[in-house]
Amino acid sequence: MMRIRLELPPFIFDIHSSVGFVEQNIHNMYPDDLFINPSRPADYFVGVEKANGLRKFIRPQASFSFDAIEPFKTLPLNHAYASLEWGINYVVANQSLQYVILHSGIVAKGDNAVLLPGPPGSGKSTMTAYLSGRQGWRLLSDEMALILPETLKVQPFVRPICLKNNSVDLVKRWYPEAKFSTVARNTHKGDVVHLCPADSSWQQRDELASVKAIVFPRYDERIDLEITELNQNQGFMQLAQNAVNLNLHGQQGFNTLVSLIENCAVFEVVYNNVEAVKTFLEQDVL
Amino acid sequence: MKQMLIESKQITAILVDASCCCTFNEYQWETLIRVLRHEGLLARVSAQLAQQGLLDDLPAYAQKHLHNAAILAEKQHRSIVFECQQIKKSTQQHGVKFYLLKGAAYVFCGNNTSWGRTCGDIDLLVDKSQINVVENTLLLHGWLADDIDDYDNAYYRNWAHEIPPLKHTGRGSVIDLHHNLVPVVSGRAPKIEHFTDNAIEYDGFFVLPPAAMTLHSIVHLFINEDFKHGLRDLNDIHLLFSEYNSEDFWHELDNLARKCGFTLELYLACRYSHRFFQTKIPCELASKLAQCHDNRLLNLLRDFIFSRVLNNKHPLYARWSNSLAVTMALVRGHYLKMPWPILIRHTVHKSYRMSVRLLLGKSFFTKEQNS
Repeated sequence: MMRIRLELPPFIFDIHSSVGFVEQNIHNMYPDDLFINPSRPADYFVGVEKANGLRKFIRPQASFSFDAIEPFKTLPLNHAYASLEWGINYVVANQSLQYVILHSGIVAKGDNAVLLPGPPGSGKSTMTAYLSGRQGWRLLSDEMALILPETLKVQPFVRPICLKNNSVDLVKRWYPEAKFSTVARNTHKGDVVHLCPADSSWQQRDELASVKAIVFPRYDERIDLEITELNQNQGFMQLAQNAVNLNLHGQQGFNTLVSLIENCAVFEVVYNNVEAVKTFLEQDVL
Repeated sequence: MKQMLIESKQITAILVDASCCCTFNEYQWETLIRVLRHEGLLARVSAQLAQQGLLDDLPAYAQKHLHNAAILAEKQHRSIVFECQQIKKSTQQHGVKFYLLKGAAYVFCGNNTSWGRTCGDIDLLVDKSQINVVENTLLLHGWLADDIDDYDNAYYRNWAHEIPPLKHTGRGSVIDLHHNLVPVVSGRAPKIEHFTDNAIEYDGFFVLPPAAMTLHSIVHLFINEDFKHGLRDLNDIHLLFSEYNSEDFWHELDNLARKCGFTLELYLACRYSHRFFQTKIPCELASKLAQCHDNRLLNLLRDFIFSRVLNNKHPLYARWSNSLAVTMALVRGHYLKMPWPILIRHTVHKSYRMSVRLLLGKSFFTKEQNS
């Protein structure tokens, strides 16, 4: 039985699991200095355990829990580690209202951040993985941008990057030295592997950044690079669709999105060449 | 026994006087926040601390979680008002008189119980003759009954005091539409006018007058088998007792309970509200109720059950005797709700489903969803 306390700025998670490969993955994905002793209070208590029922002998299942509450259906045991990562996202999205949370990748060059919001399949995580590993860049998050309400400031929430299907091989080619988790097969997102972000991202995990640009990525294998600047209305509507807890924040949430849109360049980028996107961001945007 | 950082008694003391937690250190806060969140009471304590101007002096760790809980509760209250307006708008042409119950009622009338009260569903009461037209109209506006099996559906339709919950397909809001306060099958459903007479109007909705509102909360808690929110619901009753405390109120409460046959429930509410929260109950009423319902042997049993199922149920405080009490309360609640023949049928059906779940896993009956 594993019980650990993990400092994932800006939160502290207390995590338990008796599933062996979950523990291995956690130690593989998270640097040692994030494991802290329990003298500091944890914000959230989560875990993933083998589910009960005689089915555990035939088709073992895993169940995620948030302090004794199980918010999801059970999943095949093979998904246990991935479901823990998703469960942590779920808890933050529902509980951490000190931030306006956008469902978006977010990377920064120095302290200048670029939001990469997009639906599943848009290549958001792949793009985030690519950029966050390049010289001078860092990861803030591949899933959720934690914006301080009514500012442009964004709090990093550095975690393993969730890669799906074909993007796994692509990223392994770009970063052969990187650490990858075990594979969760046939999840609702396909085959899923988590990628440990580069050291520089972990080192700067406490350093806030300012959002400078919003880029809606869309992967299209036929198009090298096509950039469209969006007007504020288009940008706002698309951004609002990716807001996770906007309704909880009411007026303050709305104001936060307006201020982002009014102060950032907003683009839609159709691409198949990640390096070209990086060049565009470095030369024309930041 | 596990070492507790705070005792259950300290938690109930905080619900009486929130300032009790001001001296807590961070580890105590960690436990307190877990328990209160689990019990749906974090926002209530947050609201009470804010009311007393004590929030700013607390450790940053506590402030953060209390503040977030307050935002969540505010959002729920905004949603309740919004959803009620939508319900009203959708059913306008039928001139339905809607009575709000429980959380929604507290929110609309803005009493002390509403502060930081977490609410899931919206409980509405309408005249039985209007249930069908309201259900059909709400259906047209996106509120659909969840997929439940035929047995459960028949149970609701024939024996319950409400129809199956209606969930909005877009926004996910859930309405529990009632025509009475107690399951019809229990034989104890009151003449509903006793409760709805003199209801008070707030923004086009009606809220039961204080004594009726309080008695409904009591009946809802004590004629039930599910005590998941036991501590919160008992705390609601304590707050209602304390806020409406006046000679008239207690008199009406007593009268209504007698008229509708709920004096045992009132007795239990007074007993446990006083025991948990030291609620002030007029001596005269207390002794009147005790005369009818005091029974030393039964009280041993009642105390065993209710001192546990009405207390916090966070796993940190789990004891084998708590599970036993929960089971006993489950049996008691079913027995109160259903006459024997129906209860036996119900038990057979539910046991079958439970065994299948036990054998094949919790999600066996959950229909596969395409995603």
